Amino acid sequence: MGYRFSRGVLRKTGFPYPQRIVDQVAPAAEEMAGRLNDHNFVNGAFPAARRGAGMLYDFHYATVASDTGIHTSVNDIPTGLDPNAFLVPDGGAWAAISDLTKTFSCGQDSVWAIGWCQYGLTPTGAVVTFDVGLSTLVKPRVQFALRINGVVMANTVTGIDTSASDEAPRSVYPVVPVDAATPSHNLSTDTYSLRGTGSMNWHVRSIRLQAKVGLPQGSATVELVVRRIPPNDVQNLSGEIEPVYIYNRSLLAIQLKESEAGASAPTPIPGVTYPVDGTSISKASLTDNILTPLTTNLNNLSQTAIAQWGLRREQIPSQLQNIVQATCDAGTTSRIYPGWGSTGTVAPGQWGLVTDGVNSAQANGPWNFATTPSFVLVLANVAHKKASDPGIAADAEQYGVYGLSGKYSTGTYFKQNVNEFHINNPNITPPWAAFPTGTMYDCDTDVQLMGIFDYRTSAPANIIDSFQVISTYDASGGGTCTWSHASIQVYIWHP
Amino acid sequence: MANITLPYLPADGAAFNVDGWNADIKSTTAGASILGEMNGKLNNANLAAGQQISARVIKPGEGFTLAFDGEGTTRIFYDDTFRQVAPFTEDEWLVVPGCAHRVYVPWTPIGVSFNVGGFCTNFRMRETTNSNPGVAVYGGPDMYIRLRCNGVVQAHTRRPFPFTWYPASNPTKADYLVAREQVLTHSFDLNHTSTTAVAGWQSVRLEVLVPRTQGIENIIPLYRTAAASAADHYIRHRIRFGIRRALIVAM
Repeated sequence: MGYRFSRGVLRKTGFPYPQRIVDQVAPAAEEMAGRLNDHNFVNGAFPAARRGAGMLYDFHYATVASDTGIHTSVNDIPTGLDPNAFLVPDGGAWAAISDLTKTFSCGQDSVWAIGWCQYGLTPTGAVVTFDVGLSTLVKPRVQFALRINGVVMANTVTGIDTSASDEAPRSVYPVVPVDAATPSHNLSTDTYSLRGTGSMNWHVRSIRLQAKVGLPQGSATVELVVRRIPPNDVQNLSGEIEPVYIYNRSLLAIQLKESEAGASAPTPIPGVTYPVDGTSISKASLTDNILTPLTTNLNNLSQTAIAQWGLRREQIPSQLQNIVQATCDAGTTSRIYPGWGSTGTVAPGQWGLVTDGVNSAQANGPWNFATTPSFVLVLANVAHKKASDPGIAADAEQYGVYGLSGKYSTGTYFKQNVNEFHINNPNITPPWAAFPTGTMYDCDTDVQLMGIFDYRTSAPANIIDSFQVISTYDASGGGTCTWSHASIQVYIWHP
Repeated sequence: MANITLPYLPADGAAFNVDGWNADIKSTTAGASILGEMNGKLNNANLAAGQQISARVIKPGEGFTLAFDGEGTTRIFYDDTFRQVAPFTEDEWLVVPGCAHRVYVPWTPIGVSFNVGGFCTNFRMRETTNSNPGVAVYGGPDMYIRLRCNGVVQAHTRRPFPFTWYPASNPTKADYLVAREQVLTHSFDLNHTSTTAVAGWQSVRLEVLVPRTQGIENIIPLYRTAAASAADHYIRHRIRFGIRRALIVAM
């Protein structure tokens, strides 16, 4: 309520009628009975310790680490399928990546949903879809979307959904003269160059989707969904429908609480007894029945004394503690991927920091999450240009690897496997006789990374000095991973 | 403020002090009256031990403010196609519809997250830059997208798109003009955050730059001695946007 005045004052020459006393104190009692609001409290009234758990933000997430298997040597065809890989069903219907699905109860809330996954073709050695000399003229295509409460969010769908579009796979165009010495316009079947597809021309890459949606009261279900799109029966040389798998994947639903469901009913102030006409009033009864109960309550308010939607943001600290962003320009990493399960250590022969030599995609702390439990979200982007090795012609088979790591104050790096991102060069001109080293490859892809570090209930091993984007080249050596711009954003919320 | 302690509190056995009573009800002394304290001076000390604040008592729009919008289809309308832009200058960046959004934030945010995501396809000619080489030297301008947040270009969000159309690998052979066309669908999810934003409008938009190049100059070096081509010989680089979205979260 707004500013309240006492209704009159007692006069020295008057008699303290009961009604006059009631008039004086009733506004205070009425306010305390569930009507207190921002007018009653000073700015900065409450410290962070007064925040209820998940006061404004709550976090619902799932992560599944799954190795693409593409990381031993150039042109290596991985063998074996990671047991955590998720097979995109045939048939073309939207399917939830079920182990990411999150359901939670909500009031009058919104959700900021962020889905991320790495997808790729089958890693089994028998189906040589990674290699040049593609076995199929059309690669399987997939679309992704966020689905909330059963509704596919139309403005999160990725990629076109029809092969009739002008942007559909172009298959093969006249390309290379049959004989370089005898140039000819004859059409030739280019078995190298099929890279153009509607939605999936990468062997492996990842995708990240974000959306904000208002939620109805009750419960909410947030899913990351995927489907194959026509022709969804793309076959490989063995006559099998070529599978598409989802590997590393994460889904985060940040519950943004506009209000909790329901409102507390105002409760009368206990202990307050008003004098009534026709009865005697003792001085002690004024203290015992009015002033003391009011001050006792005012010194021990419950949250229900505050009106619904009563406070402003100036009166209690936000759960969001900080955001730290770091950016850098072009650079390269000449490293050798140390393999799945590596620690993320930035060192020769392992991972390299994404840096332009002056600035780095490294957000600096330090943060002591042992003393301030926190939920940490890391989003990062890198304008990946290519993974290349001048000595190797088959550039589509070269992979860049990106990841997110943290660095303890002790100097030790740590990394979550689930944050790794493997990407090949999707768009190359194949090497040929007059151009054997094939430097015409091109990738230019927005590498999207997402990391969730939940330190709300369990602290990391040490104080964390920084989070950084790391990169490496997936080969036995000699190659580089090149990018043009990069950024990292670290969001830190207190519980 | 500390807890409230009333200075008078009438008691039996003494004369009733009217001024003391009135002051207990309302005075300007901090922590010494009921209404005086309730009128904007209550604070943490007045809340009972163990009581915590929940979302129930926060005004909607005070904890965070969001804006989210999107546009496009999975078919990629031609309406959303951007074609040649020349010359290649800062002025030629265009705003992509459906990726521009703004929201008014009445308080000073701790941080603002700007995000634009979506997918597109591009058609981009790979050019040669040397006039008479034995082996082509390739180059030429890129086509880019980038974010502009609160009116400021964010260089780190600049994203080029790959070449999709290749001329001859041997530029000394006119016949080698035969080329392969490849179309790629790209998804992007660009982020920028600000921790220095002030109360007021927060805005984000996606911009695109599509350069054009002269075909005869750049595609067939063998013919480079010929006269400059007419405008209709410009290579039609293009980029088409499908579904895309803009999200602002002020926190």
